[in-house]
Parts: sequence; C-alpha cells; structure tokens
Amino acid sequence: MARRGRFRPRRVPSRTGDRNVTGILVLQSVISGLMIGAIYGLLGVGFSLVWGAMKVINIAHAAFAVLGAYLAYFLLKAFGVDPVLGFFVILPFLFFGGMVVYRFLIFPVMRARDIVVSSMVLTFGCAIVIENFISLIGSPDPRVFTTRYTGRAFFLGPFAFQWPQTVGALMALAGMAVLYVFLKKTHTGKALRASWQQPEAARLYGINLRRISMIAFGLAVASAGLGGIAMGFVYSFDPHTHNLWLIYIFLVVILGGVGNVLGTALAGLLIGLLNGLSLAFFPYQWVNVITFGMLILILLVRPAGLFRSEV
Amino acid sequence: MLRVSDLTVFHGHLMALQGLSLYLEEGEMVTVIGSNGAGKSTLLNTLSGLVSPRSGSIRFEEREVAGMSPEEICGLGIVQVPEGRKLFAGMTVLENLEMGAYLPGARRRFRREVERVFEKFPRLKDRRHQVAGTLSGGEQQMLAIARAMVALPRILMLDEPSLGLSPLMAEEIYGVIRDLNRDGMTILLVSQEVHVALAMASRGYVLENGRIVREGEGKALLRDPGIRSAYLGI
Repeated sequence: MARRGRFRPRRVPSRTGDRNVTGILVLQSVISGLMIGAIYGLLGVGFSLVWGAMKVINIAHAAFAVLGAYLAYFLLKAFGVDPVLGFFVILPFLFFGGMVVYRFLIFPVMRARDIVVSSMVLTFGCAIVIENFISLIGSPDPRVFTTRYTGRAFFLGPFAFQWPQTVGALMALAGMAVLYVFLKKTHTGKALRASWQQPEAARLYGINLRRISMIAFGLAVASAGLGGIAMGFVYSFDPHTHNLWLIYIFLVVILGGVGNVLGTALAGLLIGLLNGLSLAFFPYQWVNVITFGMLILILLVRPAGLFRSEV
Repeated sequence: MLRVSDLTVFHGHLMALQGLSLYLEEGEMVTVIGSNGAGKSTLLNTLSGLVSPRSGSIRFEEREVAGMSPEEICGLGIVQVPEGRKLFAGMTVLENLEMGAYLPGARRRFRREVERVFEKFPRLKDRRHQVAGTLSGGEQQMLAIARAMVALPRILMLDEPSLGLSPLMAEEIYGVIRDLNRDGMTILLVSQEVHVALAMASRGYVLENGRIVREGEGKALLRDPGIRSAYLGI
C-alpha cells in the first residue's frame, strides 16, 4: 500500500553535533510518539464513549474525523481560517450533525436484537457515504494543512518541537480534558455515565435515554472532528485515510477498556509511545508489526484491556 | 390516591398481569406478596412506565398515568426503588443521589433534600465520596432508598428491599421503611418475605400468576389458613 509512507513523522534535524545523538534521537521519538498518541487518545475517547454508552461500534467515527479535517482544510483554503479557529466554526455542525445521525439512523436500529452487529453494518455504510461525499466535493488527493507555522519548530533544550505537531497534540489534550470534565462534573455528563451503568434505573429517575444518547453521539462526532483536525497537523489525509485511523482507534480503545475514558486516553499515549520508540529502533516497515504484535501480547495477558472498565 | 383497575400487561405473547386491580390511600402502607414470577416486578415497572399496559387504567389523583413515560411518572412523584437496587455502581454516593434528583423539580430542592436524607442515613453522609459499588449490601440498599427519596416521591414503591441482605440488615431496612411510613410517606411494598411484609402493612394483596387472588388487612391475611400454608409453610 502506497499510503503507508505517510505515517512517518517529518524529521527535524538535530542542532547538536554527533555526541549523544542516539540518546537524543530516542527521547525525540518519545516526544513525537506521545504527541501523536494524544491524538489517538482523543479519537479513541469518542469512539469508546459511544461503544460503552450505547453498545454502538461506530465504524464511521474515523470518517467523521476525516470530514472534520476536510472542513477545516476548506476553511483554511477558502478563507484563510487557521484550523484551530476553524474547529470552533465546524464544532456546532458536527455536534448537531451527529445528533441528527443518531436520531434518524442509529436510534431506529437500537431496537435490533444485536445492536453491535446492526450498528456496525449501518455505520460502515455511513463511512462509505462520508468518504465518497468528500471525494465528490473535494477530490481524492492527499491534503495537508499549510499554515504560517508549517515547517517551523521550537527548541526546548536539545529537543525540537514542530509547531504543527505541537498544536495538534495540544488540541487533542484540550479535547480530552473537556470531555473528561463534562463526564465528571456536569449534570448531563453524570446522567450519561449513569445511563450506561444502569439504563433501567436511569429511566426510573427521569433520564431520557434517547436524548442523552443523542447528546453523547453529537459529542463523540464533534470530538472525532477535533481529532481529525489534530491529525491533519501531523499527517496528510485523503478521503480513504479513515480506514487507517480506524484501526488505530480500535487498538487504543481495546487496550484502554471500552467505555473507560481515562484508560483510553492513556492507551492512546502508550500506543503513540510504542510507535515512536519502534520508529527509533526499527526500520519503518516493521513499526505496525511491532505495535500490533504488542497488542496481541497484551491482550493475551489481559483480555479485558489494560485498565478496568469504568467511569 | 392511586387506583389501578383491570390492568393487563403482556411480555411478548405471555400475559404477565391479567385484569389486576388495587388501590392505595394517602399515608397507607400496602404490600403485594407473591412467589417468584407472580408478576410483582412487572406490576411496579408498569406503574413506573417502564412497561406499557395492554389495557386497563392507572389513575393517580384523577390523572391517568398509564401510557406516560417513566420521566413524567417520576416527575409526578411515583418513584420506585428497583429490585436488586440497581445503583450506579461506578459513581459516588453523592453522584447517585444527584441522579435520583435528575429532574428539574427535584434538582432545585436537592440541597435541602440531601441534608434530610443524610440525617436519616448518617452512614451515607460519611461515605458520600465513596464509589457506590464498594458499599456493603445494607448501605447499598440505604443508598437505593435515599436515591428515591431525593426524587421527591409521593408514593414510594419498593421491590424486594431485603433481597440479599443479612437478617439483621434486613430488619434495619424494614425499620427504615416503617419510619418513612410513620412520617406520612405512602408506600407500596413488594416482597417475598410474606410474614414481615404483612405484619407491617395496613393492607395486602396476594398475587399469583398475574392475578390478585386475595386481598385484605395485613393482620387478617396473616391469619388466613390458605396463605399460612402456601407462603409461610405453617
């Protein structure tokens, strides 16, 4: 697959001489890995939320992410809006779009005997529709965000931080923090947790499961959009990219524990770290082998994921 | 206050309740007894709006509530403490109570109500930041009752409140229920512990295969030879 090459982070030449190059290179890989890991984490959190709360495996999650990246890209191209600001323009569309998708597509299949399978088939269809919609409106060429800070870096000690990657990672961290605070501190967030822990009791005390699931789905789609924009700062994307992102999202969520927001966030960082480290030590074509090999090992030891599933 | 007439409920093709009628006056404690599968939980879930009846009516103070959503019914003050407690196990005691007071009306009065509940259950106050799943069985049942109390019930319906508790703990929970009733709470108690339930309640109904087969004063039912042999093994 020709696509694979795009997963390599851009390298920044080290300012230091040849001394300690290996040590610095390793730490540099750790930093890049953690930054990309934060983005995996954010993408995983939204996916995990929907899976845990309503047993819906949203195959279109990464497609929504790519859609977010494209919308931000068009805002950037057409109006010169920085993708970070662009997100706030896109946010309401993704949130309400997600709620509409839930109400008219997901909700009707919730009564199916096997929600997991029905929802997977349904959202797989959604992913195809979104992918082709993007190809139709734009074109299937790969895109990158080109902003004022593209290709720029700053240094902390001997370590280089690329601006676009840093911006992407910060967006992802902020997104995860907002979701976490929402779930832990707000009335609606608590109701959401309550309704996935004990749906029947939640209904007894007046929680409207349909409304609360709709909000959750809207939030998940919005967070996917944010994750997609953050990814767009690091890697190029095209309408098919979501297939690759989805595999990573699955990886992160299974490792972190379905429905476990904190665990998923940590798993994202861990996967990023693993990826970064294997990039430093092994040829590129082995990176995915090592990452997914580790996944198999971890799941053999802890089949329920690394972290206990609750929140 | 509550008048159920001719209530029929189906689970798929199976008739779970057939033409059931009962009533509840303000301030009363009424019990519905019966064995496993008699339809006791179905009755409470129908009153709560989780299950919709095929036919019949449920009138609460001149208002027809059959067919209303659980949300509306909870808002009117018909509140259930479900069988097996069904706490939000991963959330703290305080968060569980906040969810009991989820609806706007209850939420506005939450601060005051939670103080009252903590006065009644001081142990819950001490553990208000503890995760509900880590409480003991008795404390969990207290929390389940407390969670219903902050929903501002006018009728409190309890489904097997002593399930899985030690005899000592069960006695304490029944004490709590008696106190609530003495303070004026209208209570509908569903139980398999026939002796305790009938001794406590002012009136009782016996449910068998989805039908009320006997009704009367609690003490009178307790003396009934048929009930003594069927439910008390005497």
